[in-house]
Amino acid sequence: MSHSNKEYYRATRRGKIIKVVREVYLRDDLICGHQKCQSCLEIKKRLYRTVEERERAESTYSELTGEGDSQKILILDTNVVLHQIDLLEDPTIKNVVILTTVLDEVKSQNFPIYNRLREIIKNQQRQFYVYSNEHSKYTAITRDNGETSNDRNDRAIRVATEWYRAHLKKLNVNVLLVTNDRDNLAKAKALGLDGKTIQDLVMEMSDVNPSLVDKLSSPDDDDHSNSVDAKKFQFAEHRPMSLLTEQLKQGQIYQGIIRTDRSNYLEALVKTDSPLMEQEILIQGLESMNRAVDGDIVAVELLPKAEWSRPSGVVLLDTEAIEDDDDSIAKDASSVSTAVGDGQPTGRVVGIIKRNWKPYCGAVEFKGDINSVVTNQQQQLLFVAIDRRIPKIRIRSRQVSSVVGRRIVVAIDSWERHSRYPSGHFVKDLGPLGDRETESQVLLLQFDIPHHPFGASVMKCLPPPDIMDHVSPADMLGRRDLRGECIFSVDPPGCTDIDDALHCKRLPDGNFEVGVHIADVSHFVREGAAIDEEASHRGTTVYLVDRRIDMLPGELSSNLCSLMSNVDRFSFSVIWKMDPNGNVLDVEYTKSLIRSVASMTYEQAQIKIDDASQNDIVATNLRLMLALSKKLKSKRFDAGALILASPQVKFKTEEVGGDPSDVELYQMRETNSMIEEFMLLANIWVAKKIHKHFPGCALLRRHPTPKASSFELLSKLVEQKGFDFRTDTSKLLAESLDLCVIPDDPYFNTLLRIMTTRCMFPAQYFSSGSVPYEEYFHYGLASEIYTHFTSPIRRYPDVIVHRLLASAIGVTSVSLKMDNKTGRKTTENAYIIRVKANAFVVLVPRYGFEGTVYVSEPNQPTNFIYDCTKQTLSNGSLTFRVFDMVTVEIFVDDSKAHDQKLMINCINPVLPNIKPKYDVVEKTTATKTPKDEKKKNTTNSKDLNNRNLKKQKL
Amino acid sequence: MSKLSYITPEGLRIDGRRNNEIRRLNMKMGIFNRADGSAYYEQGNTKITVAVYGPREVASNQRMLHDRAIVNCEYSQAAFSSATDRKPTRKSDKQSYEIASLIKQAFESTIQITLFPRSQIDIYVQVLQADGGLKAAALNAATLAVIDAGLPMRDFICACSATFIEGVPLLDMNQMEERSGGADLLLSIQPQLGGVISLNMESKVPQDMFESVLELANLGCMKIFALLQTEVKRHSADLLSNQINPKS
Repeated sequence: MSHSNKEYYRATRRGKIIKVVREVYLRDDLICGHQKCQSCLEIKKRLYRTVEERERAESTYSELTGEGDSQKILILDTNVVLHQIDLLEDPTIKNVVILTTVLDEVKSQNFPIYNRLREIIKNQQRQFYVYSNEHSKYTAITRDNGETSNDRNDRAIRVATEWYRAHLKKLNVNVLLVTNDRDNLAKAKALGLDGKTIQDLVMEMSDVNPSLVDKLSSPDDDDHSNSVDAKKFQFAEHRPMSLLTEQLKQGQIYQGIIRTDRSNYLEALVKTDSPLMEQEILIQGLESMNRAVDGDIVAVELLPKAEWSRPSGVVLLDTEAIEDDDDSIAKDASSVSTAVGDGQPTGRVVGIIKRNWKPYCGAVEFKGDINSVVTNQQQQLLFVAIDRRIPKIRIRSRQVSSVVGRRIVVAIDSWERHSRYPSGHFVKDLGPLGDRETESQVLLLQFDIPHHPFGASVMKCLPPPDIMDHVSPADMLGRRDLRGECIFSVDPPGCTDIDDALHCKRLPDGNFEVGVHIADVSHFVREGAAIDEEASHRGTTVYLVDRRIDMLPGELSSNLCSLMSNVDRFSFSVIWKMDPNGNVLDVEYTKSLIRSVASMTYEQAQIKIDDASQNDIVATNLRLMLALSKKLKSKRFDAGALILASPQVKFKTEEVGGDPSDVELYQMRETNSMIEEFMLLANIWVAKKIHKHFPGCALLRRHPTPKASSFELLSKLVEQKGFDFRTDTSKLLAESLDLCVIPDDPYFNTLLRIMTTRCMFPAQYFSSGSVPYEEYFHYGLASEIYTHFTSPIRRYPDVIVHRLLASAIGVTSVSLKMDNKTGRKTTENAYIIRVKANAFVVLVPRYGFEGTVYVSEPNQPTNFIYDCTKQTLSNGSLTFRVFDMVTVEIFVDDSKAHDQKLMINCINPVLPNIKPKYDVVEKTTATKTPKDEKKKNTTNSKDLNNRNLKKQKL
Repeated sequence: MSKLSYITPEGLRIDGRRNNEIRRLNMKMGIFNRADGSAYYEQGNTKITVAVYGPREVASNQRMLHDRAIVNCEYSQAAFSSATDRKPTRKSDKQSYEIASLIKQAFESTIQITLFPRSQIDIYVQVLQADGGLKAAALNAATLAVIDAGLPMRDFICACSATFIEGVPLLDMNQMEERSGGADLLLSIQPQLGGVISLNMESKVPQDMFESVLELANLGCMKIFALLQTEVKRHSADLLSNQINPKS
């Protein structure tokens, strides 16, 4: 093994130039990867002493075979991998050598493509072999004087190709360098190497496999001179990057992400982070959008103020298939009505800073007769993405018949100046259009929902399926045995992931005991385990018409955690003592072991309640609960809770997993609202408990009070209908909503509720330390504090809340992650050691440090009188003397990241002029809290379209 | 910015070694004439010289021990040894002090110090170029210098570091790999007696992987031992042939 040093110069972050020296070991024991190579077999024998060892090593990579008569091995250049990755993913491309030079270049230029390439290499069927040419004695080269790193890499590829050719000469293998770099190709041919462009190669293979051609990305030639001259310019040229950076620096142009309007493809908004431009910049017309696609980071130049305009408010879809490029833009420009005047800032795109092109799902637009199309003749087609904000994409295909009528995935390659549409290539066929399976796939892909099966490491975390048959004493630690209680569950029909059960009984003193029992998911999903990571990544269970994409593996979600009847299950219980009016007298939180006696559907439970002849224990308890829940409900509405609505429908299917045959409105029964009432109650009480124990880091949920202005338009409209619409408080809103009833049109009220919901902000998760207490308020439920506790099987935040509650009641220790967050605020006793005019200095014995506690806000007048002889500070009712003990709250003020301060506030006795500590940290909004876990927030609706995919931070 | 990966799926590290390979060793004993024993030692790009004085009279009577010799160690890093920070390390800085005390303790247990009561042995370690694995390299280099000084030792001291990055145990990290934030395990052994002189680890390793990391470090120590022994034999043969027919 020989050895050399790699030396290069690197600038440090401060701009200092340092010399970096790294050792490089050049090996002579790297194998070429060909199955039949004898000399490499010798090396392998030397490397691995036993046959098992060798076989194990061999199973980690795939060998090249060189099938059939045409023994051919391909060596790819970097540009081929970068531009043709979709083609490489086609299984017919085999026997490929990937050099580490290429891998490294791909990795540094495009990481997603690197990952895809790695995926291909991992697949043994594909026969992609990685040769570490940079560490091979025979193929490693150093950069010559004056050689650019690009030229050096090209040379490295040629050297490696040469070595391969010589190495495999005996086996009569044809080594082919595939490159689209003309220069590289010419130099390779000069060396006597066999080289081809990818286009030539694919054309050669197309006799056997015509579909390959479609996947070929359009040639990325550098000079378009001839084609450009022939056509008229359509789009303005993008400015070069160097100019853009310069102009951005000077503030002449703005940078931001472009968002195309969903309902009008000719309008887009650019939100900039520039402090000079707070409003979003409007971009109107295709010409101004200048080939920017939704999501790209663009550079925008403002138009003169006289040309500023307003969003047109027109719904416009790109329905015409315009084949003739030349006149298209003129038409578009005229269709945008421009109301010139005092509009919002309007601009045009002058350059693209970063593309955000992704593969898009959609279908091909095709008019005419498929049968008349000549097969194997390349045809231009237009692809229409499902996402309306994406422009149509021009693709070329040889097999029109196999693409038309299918859901396909297409990637954009480029967008030329003279073309109205970007051009792209075919990536994947998902299935026939309109097929349920295909369209489900499309939905999942479109919304980025992880739906791959659970990995082996996740499945390894699962407990044995019979764990509930023999419960160990360790499992019962801190757990109450509630199997004696009459516990039952009520759920929608066909529900297998039952996460809640209830019980209720009359106590001898006339009060009631009501318990809500929630599946103890955190018992099985330990923090930090693979299953926990996976669940937090998925965030929620997704329900489609015909299937469910679980957050937790089925073994847990529909068996071990599911509170089914007549089996022992672990649960987390909240048990209240209530008086007959639904006032909570006492509450207890405990982990428990339960055995549900019945799992009913809402309908069954309703029948049981209504059927006066049934008088078994379950029926009587149900009636008790219903009565209590009505009390709770009326109390909630008195407080101003709203009944909001979202369009909820139910699919009827003929058989399980079959095609839906009908859609009907979801029917709400009394029992639905009964269960809902108790779940709300449990959530509220759990929220209180965890907030008390973790005031700085409890996971809560709030629903911001809407701004008065957001109802303006709606209330005007409702008043036109002749109703009085008051929106001042949630209670007034609820009352006016109740009154808005048109007898002939029963749906009107629901419609109004749906529209009201649209005026509000969505509810959000937050960490209790990030928001002042007054803003914890849940507007829709009119609850002071709220969280999610009741559905841990299908919602990840609930799992976190379970863990918090468990440590709040002392069953488990505080988790590591939370531990350093609870450390953010602590309450300690302290002694006053000195008194000043507007403050006093305290010593905290626990930490042995001293700090200043202000008795008024800085620069505010104070009503405290300072007596310097007695060293006291007094405002009549309160007096602070040296040696007095006070209780203080110590926390870090990290509202300014560069200036973190330790703050001490006096909390006992309470100081009149000091605002609560939250004001100090007020500026740290939830979104800025670092390290907080990402959570997905979804509405309860089981309709995917209603999924609120906004990711929120705790 | 793509993530730096320390070992490729093909099993090669950034510098081209496999996970169980130590860096290239290069060494020479007896490089200084004035010292009683000395050695120059290279492990990859880490370059160290060691000079040993003693046994000699104790400099200050207060520290003298009546039943054995005392071992002193001074460790310092040349101002030019490291590429990034050119601050000269002083003898008194914490890291140097830690390494010095490690060497001191290791040799107190391996040199037969009871043979030299009321005397002292000084080991001076000077790092000329630093590229990771300093502790291990310093111990190995000191072994050579002490042997060169002709001090009676129970055994060699061989040291090697190992870590656990990206699910793979790695032997003998260079500076770049040390900075990965993975665990840093240092094992020093007496290879022939089979004793462990020191074992310390910074940061954490999954419990079930610890055995394999330790096993690997032990393997590294044995490899280094073989190479040290070759050098000692070569040097001794040199000395012998010089004595029989002195050329200079």
